[in-house]
Amino acid sequence: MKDFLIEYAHIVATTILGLLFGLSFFLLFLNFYHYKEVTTTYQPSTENGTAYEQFMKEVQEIKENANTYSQKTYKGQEEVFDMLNMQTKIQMCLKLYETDELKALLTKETYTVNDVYELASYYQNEILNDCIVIQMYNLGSEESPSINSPRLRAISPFLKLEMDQLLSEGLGYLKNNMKNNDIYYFSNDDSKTGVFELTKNSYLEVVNYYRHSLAFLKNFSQWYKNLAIGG
Amino acid sequence: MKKILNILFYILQLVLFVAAFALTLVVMIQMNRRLEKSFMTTINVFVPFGILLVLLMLNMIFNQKTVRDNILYNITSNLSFATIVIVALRAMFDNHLIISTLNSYHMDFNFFANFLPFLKIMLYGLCISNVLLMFHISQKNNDKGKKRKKSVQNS
Repeated sequence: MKDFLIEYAHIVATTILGLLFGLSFFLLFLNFYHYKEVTTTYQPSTENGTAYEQFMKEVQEIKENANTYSQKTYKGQEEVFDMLNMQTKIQMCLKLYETDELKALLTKETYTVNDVYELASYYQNEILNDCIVIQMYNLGSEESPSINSPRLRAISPFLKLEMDQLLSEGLGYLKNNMKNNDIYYFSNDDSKTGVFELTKNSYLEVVNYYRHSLAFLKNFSQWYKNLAIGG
Repeated sequence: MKKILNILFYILQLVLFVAAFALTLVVMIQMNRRLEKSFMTTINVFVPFGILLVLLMLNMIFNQKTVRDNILYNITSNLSFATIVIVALRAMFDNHLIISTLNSYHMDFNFFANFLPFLKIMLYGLCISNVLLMFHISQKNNDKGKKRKKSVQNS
């Protein structure tokens, strides 16, 4: 009886060891795979110029639109103060696109997930908060305390709609997704091609957010230019 | 060959055990310092380490060959300790984990905390299998059993 129990104990011990072998083997190699996943880099295509070069073209165009207005030559019906106020807002926003920090972030040859996270943080802190919210958002208010232009009031609901869209884009979700890259997930090459590749797709999403914000500024500056020329 | 492998695995097992314990201790101390918690709250993580240490010492003192010469036990414990070491090292030094770059400790506690249940499963599993392997059929009983078998075959 004793011998039987001892043999039985050995069988149980071997079974436990077998299960543990499987678990530790799985975890060990999952760690190697996960390390490979999180260190994946992305090299953006430079066929049509880098993202920074493309953005700078847009920035230059917006700057030209904003500079159309000159207090000396302007003979329109808008108040000078309103025109200057709008011009300053556009110029303040453009300064945020021309910083060395953004240049360094956008001119990298290869991107790790950390770089993309920094790019997303810059967009959130500087572009959304300092440009869209602080500078531009009150242009979307129909009862803007600083600007009395009736023409601006006519387009303010559309401005507000566009700015709300910019603010509600899934940047928070994207950042959280990157922040959670320490959790094992069971992606494979097939799912990566069809679903979401953390570094590459996050980069493309963030760059698109920058494009959307520039498109908004460009549209506004175009309207401003027409106002300055049209008089 | 098997004997040499067992000796190698046994030595490696002791080294990895010390490394796994030390690295877990470092991460847990830092984690508790960050959360401003007493170290006693994490004692349950170190209980299986303590039990395993006692068992390893018993194996050494009583020269328990059923455990020491069990190649499956040696390989499994090596794999388990190696996994703990690698996870702790990644939590400490893997800068690609975003959270480790966000806090000033430069350590991803979340990554290590997610691993704690597996760490406990592996260590308690090793403890249980070590205890079960300690029991062995004595040589006398074994000889008796063999004789009985032979006599049955002869008759």
